[in-house]
Amino acid sequence: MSERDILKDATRALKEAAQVESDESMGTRERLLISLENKRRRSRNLTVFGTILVISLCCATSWAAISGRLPELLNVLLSDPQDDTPNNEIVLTEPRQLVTPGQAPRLTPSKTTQNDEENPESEEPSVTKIEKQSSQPAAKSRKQPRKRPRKARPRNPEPPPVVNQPEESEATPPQEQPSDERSEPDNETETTAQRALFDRAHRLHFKARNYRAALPLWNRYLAETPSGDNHLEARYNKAICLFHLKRNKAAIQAFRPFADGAHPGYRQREAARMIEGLERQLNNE
Amino acid sequence: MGSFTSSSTLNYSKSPHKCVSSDKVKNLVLERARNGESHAVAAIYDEYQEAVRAFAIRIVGDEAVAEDLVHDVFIRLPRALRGFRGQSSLKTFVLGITANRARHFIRSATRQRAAYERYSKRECQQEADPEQMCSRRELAYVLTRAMDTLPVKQRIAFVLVEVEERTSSEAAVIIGIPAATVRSRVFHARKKLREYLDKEGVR
Repeated sequence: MSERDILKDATRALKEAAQVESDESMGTRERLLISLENKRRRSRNLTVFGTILVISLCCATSWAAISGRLPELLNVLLSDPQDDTPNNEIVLTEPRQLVTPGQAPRLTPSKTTQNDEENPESEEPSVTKIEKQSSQPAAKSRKQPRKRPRKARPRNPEPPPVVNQPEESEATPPQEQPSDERSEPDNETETTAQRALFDRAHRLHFKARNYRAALPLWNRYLAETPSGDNHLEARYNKAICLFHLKRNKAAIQAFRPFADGAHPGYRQREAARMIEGLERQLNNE
Repeated sequence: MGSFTSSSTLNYSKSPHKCVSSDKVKNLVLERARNGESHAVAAIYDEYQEAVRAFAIRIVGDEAVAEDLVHDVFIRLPRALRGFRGQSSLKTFVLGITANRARHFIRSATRQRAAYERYSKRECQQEADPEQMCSRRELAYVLTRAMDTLPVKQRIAFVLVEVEERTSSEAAVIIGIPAATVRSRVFHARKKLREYLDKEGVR
């Protein structure tokens, strides 16, 4: 037999072998019907589940829109509380919620006296803590400020000359209380651009710690909105910037109104201690 | 195309003359099968299961695996029918699905055969007496083993043309490639199979 014949023979044999009737045909048919039914059932369940999900989402969104909670809901969904990047406007706008001039008088002197024993070196940390705290959401600031002075100290090795600076917790009460008012988007005294300016300055000051860049922005903000909602905070932050830039005399001048009670209760004790420390430093020079 | 009346579970045709409404019946069945109705798919199965099974067995060389392939083909039929434009017969279309899906099952069958031969005495017997082919079934098995060495595309082309004795044009429609490509694949497949049979000493 030639090779080709063998191949032809083999192919014919293969063809014949497959032509034998299979007993499995009915079994396969039943299996097929069951599989098709299962597939159809799965598809139906998926459709029902998907429909329910879509309807639930629509109802939730409608409810949120009707009850006026939709913007808040979107903010919560879109914001990342752990995101420290400067571009997170939601986090940055919250600090403004923490401080309101109207709430400033609620500062309790007792809390400030607790920190009279503070180490001068804590001025830097406390300032830093205050700055940091103001950049945190209100909820966190309620809890963290008391801890931060201890934690922040090692991270701030600079030896500022100012003595007995107030703890950040002193700043806590005013920052905590006005949060509700701050959160309200209605602000007739500030335009969007001014608010954005405040945010930029805040970002540079507290996130980037670029006091050299933040100072002109604080000045500009105060020039544009001398009595805006955030003017007190802006003035105080400006004073802090001057302190960090070692412009002690200018810093004393900036802290003076606060220490003298021109803005009753708003960081009065803190400002007084800052001035005390700065003057001591100046005398030592 | 069949009338779907003789062996289908649903009697789609209401006319005593099977050919009167065969087009309508066909379209109705196809439409229902596209929607995934199990009885419509079962009707198509009843019509073409023999051809598909025979092709599947010749392709994969294993009855059990061929049954799985047949099941797979008809499970996928509803979705595949969405692309059916009627340019070829439904039988050709279904065989085309079989050819496309076969590659997944050929591998499984090849592995099973290789495992079986590793643990069986079949190979020893053949080495002992390579010139005696006891049955045509044995010859078919040898050819199946030989086809395991072919690329899937050549294997499918060879089975369609040489085993099922279809023309290159028919095979080209089933596979969806030019007829010249079919002929080329068959040519190379024959060459490799001859070399294999020669090496195995099959005479």
